[in-house]
Amino acid sequence: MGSSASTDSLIVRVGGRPLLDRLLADATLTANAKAKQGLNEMVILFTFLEAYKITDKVASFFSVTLHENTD
Amino acid sequence: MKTPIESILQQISFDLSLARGLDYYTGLIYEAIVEASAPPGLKAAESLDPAPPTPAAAPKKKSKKSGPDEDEEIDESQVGVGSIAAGGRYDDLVAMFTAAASGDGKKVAGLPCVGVSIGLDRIFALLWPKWIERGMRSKEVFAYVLSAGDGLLPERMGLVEELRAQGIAADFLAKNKPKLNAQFAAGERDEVPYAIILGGDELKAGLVTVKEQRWEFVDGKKTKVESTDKGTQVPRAELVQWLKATTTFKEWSSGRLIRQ
Repeated sequence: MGSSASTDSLIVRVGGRPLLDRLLADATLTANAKAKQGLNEMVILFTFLEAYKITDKVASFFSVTLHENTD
Repeated sequence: MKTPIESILQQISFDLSLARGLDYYTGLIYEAIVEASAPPGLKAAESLDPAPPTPAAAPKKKSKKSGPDEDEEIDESQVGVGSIAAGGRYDDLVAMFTAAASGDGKKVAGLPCVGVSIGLDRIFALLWPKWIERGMRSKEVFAYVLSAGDGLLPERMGLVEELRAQGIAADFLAKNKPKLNAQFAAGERDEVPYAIILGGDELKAGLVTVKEQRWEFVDGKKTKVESTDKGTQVPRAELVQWLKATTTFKEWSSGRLIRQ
C-alpha cells in the first residue's frame, strides 16, 4: 500500500460523510476489496442516517480509530 | 344484605395443595385466579363454592366427584393460564440481603414482609380477546409507507421519519426492494388504516397516493374490506395535514378500528 492509505495514516481519522467520501476517492484504498466493501456499507449506513435525520448524532463517531476488544 | 366480609369470603378458598416455587416464604401464601385463568379441575372440585365447608359436607362433596380429572393430586394438563397475582409472607428475605450487604458477623434486624406481584402478561392474555371482539385495533400504526417503484428505501424512511415527527405512528417494510404485495400484506397485518404509496415519477411531481383500508367482522373475524379504490393523490407537502384531518385520525386514540 502507498503511504496515503497506510494503516498509520488511517487509524487517526475521525469524521462524517466528508471523511467517507475522501476515503472512497482514495484509489489505493478502494483497490482493496475488503476495504471497498466496508466503505460501501458505510455509504448505506449514512444514507439511512440521513433519511432519519440523525447524521449529526452519529457522524462524529465514524471513526477509523474505533475498535472493540472482542474479536 | 351481605356484609363486606361475607361477600369477600365467597372469593376465597383455603387450599392446602397450594405451593409456590420460591423457598423464602415463611408463612401464608396466596394466589389470585379468575375463572378464565383457573385450572378446570378447580371448578369441578367446587373450591369456589360459596357454601361454607363443614366436616359433614366434605365427604358428600367427594362423592359428587365423578370425572377422571378429580384426583387430589395436581394434573399438569389440567392447569389453566395460572394465577394472575400471587405472593405471601417472607419474613427473612430482606434480612438475607442486608446481612450480605453489612458484612460478616454483624447481627441484622429482621424485617417482616408480605407482598404480592401482579402478572400483567397473564392479565393481558385474558383481556386481549375481549379487546379484539369489541372491534379495537391491535397496533397504533396509522400509516404504512409503501413503494410502488424501485425500492425507494431512503424515501420511505424519510417519509416515515417525517410522519413520526408529526405525531403520526408510521411504519414501512424494512427491505431494500420489497414487492408491492408483500408491503400491502405487512400493512394489513398491522391493520393500518392508511397505506401511503410512493412512486418515482409521482415523487418528482411532489405527490403521493393515499389508500384507505377498512376492516369489518366476517364470522367474528377481522377481515379487510375489499375495495377497488385506487387511492387519492395528495401533495407530499400536505400529507400530514390531510391525514390529520381524517375522522379516523381524530378517533385513533380511542383504540377503535371497526365501528359497530
